[in-house]
Amino acid sequence: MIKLFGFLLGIIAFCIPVIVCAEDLTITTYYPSPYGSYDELQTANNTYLATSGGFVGIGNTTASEKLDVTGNIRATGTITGNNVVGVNEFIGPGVIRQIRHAAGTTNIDTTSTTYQNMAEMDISVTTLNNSILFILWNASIANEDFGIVGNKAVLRVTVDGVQAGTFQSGAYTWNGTGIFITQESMGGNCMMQVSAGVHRVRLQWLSHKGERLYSWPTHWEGYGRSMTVMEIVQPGF
Amino acid sequence: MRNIYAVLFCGVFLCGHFSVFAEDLTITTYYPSPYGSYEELQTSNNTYLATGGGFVGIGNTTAGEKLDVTGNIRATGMITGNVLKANNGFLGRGVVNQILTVSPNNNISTSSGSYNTMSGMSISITTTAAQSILFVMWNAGIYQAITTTAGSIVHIRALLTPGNIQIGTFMGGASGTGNTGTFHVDSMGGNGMVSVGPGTYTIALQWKTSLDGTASNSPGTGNGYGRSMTVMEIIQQP
Repeated sequence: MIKLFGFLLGIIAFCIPVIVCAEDLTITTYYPSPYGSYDELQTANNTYLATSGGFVGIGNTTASEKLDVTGNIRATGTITGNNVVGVNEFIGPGVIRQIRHAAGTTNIDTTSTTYQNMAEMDISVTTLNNSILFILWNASIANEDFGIVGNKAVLRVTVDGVQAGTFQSGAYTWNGTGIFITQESMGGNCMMQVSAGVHRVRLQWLSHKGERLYSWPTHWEGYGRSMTVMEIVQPGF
Repeated sequence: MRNIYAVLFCGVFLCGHFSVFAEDLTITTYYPSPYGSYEELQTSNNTYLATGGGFVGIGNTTAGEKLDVTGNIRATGMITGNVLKANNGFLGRGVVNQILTVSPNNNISTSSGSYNTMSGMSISITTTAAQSILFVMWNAGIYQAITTTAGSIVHIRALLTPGNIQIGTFMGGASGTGNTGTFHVDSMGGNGMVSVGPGTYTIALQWKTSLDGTASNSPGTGNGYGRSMTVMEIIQQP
């Protein structure tokens, strides 16, 4: 303010002596370009800033990017950049907000004919609203045969206790002689839309006819189990 | 602002008043809205630009958007928009920066008892983000002839190099026991993830057999014993 006032007073003072005794008057208001400090500023139309170099700072006087804002930026329309970078967070539809993985490390077995949680195959995610949980899993299951024909291993995923997608079953082929074990390589994928909060994703199994099933990841034959959960952000998050 | 222009106008008026002896005087009045060009401009409080229409250009005089910046924008806080658009790419947590897949069509087999990379099942990936997760999933249909009562077991794992890090668990597929002279097809699959910093990595799908077996993977036969692997880079820190 003070600078600008000084400048204007300079113009006025200059006018008085010159105009009294001269015929020509040139008032150059653009050179040198004035410095100004305002308490409040409004422009009503096109406004161009830092056009020949330099930075624009908002909320600071230490800008080191073309536009450097201390605080938030909001647009009612589209923000477009060649590259758009989120240093800490990046949230919007389609973004994989989190990805969690579980791989069983302990040897477990079951003869239960009702669904049981598989140990360690338990992933808790805290999600935004409307997020889709995309879940995929694989398991190699040993299916023991001690005489019951056609036993099946049945696996499914639950989210907060509700089955997500379909269940999958792996059956052995029994030739009617001997005692043997078959190994079924099973897998599945599913998704479920959830509301904001904590959600628990589990892989469960049952033995269709009660013969013993094994998930033995440390066994040299490799009866492993693994599950991955991704939270994919949706509109309305 | 309005006061400043009042002063300016007043000054101009006074000039005019004192210049009664001059013959020619042209003064741009700057009214109603003055135009100004500043070398440096500061405001210390609320600032409203282009409120009656028009654009704000930063680093240009050809703005075609409400705010049109030639250069970078940085904010210490959030940037919120109805739509965020990146012509070249997004960089931030959760962005799938790249996704690569392989599904070769050549027939292969192994009877090796130690892990070897399945032909064509290597993916090389270069990451530049400070931290990324490489998510890996694979499927393979494995044919095994059963030549002994012990059967045959094939093992498959995904391995990250450098570092020889096994991604997730390994998976086994058995031919079954006791059915000598027959064969067995296992539809195998696995998934896993590994966290990496910037660098170039190779993810290889490897297999081996145990118990006197030969495992085949023959996508070229038309019988559907295919193999495929997909790797996604999901950025955690840009």
